[in-house]
Amino acid sequence: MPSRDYLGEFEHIVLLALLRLGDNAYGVTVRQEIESRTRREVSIGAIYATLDRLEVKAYIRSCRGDPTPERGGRSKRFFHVTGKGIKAMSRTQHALDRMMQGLDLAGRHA
Amino acid sequence: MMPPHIASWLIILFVPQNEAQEIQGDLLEEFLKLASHSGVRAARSWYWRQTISTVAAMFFDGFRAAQWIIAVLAAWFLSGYADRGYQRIVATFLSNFDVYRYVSPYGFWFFYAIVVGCLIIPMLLGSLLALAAQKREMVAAVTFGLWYGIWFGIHGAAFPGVKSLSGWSVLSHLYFWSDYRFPRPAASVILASTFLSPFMIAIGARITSRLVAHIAPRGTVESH
Repeated sequence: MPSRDYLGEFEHIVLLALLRLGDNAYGVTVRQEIESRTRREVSIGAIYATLDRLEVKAYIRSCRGDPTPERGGRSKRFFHVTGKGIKAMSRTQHALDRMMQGLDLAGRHA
Repeated sequence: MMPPHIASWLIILFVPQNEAQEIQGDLLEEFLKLASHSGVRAARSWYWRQTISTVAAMFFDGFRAAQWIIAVLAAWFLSGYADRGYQRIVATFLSNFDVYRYVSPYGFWFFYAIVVGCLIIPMLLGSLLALAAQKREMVAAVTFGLWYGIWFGIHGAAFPGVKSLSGWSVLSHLYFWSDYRFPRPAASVILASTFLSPFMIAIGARITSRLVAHIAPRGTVESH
């Protein structure tokens, strides 16, 4: 199976954030969701760079909302996971699960 | 209550045009919320951190998106080509006729005919590489990269420091031109420098060589 069928770690996290946020998934909410759940500071640029890659692979699609005053008259870009994206997530998760089978990480801490 | 102007300007300059507006909107929305909760100073500091990491992320993602194996192989091949083959022919031609000395309408158009002629072979090579890579943007990348490299190489014959820029020039142009995500303002600056720099270098090299010849007679220089 070609390696491109599997998601990278951050791609996987971003897709999970999109699924969690549903119809309210745009730059700010995605960044905050990842930051609050992974407890690591994430830049908006890293989010957009990853979203672009995922859109090129057709794992997600995006649409623009209306401009709002609190954003200086700029519009939001909303993201949605496609069926192909769901399949990619499932495939990656299954691969990770299979690799984890029989391993006890708790006993391996130094 | 506005975010730092320089940081906003950096976003416009380095982030791809189609995303700059959305990223600025996202940053402004969070900046205003943070400023009302934690104060303007903390919000400005956060905005700067986000700007720097965003610019870095976009830049390195561009590198990752570029077809590096093809770009490096092409740069290696093209810089060698620029150094040895075409460059030598053009340099010999220019030195024999010394077109810079005779500033006349004839000389001017003659010089530009050579410049345009230099584009033909790079364009053919660019088309072949683009065909191999199945990436149309590489035609411009290779053409201008090689063309620029040739001019650095030619003028570097007199100034070794300039010659060493030839390979880097080819490589950087391959990156800038083959990456369709690269922001338009920065690409415009690169485009302008592509067209202007060879002529500026040509004029600078001529003036410098005249000055050197004036200060140190030719026989004295050659004896070393």
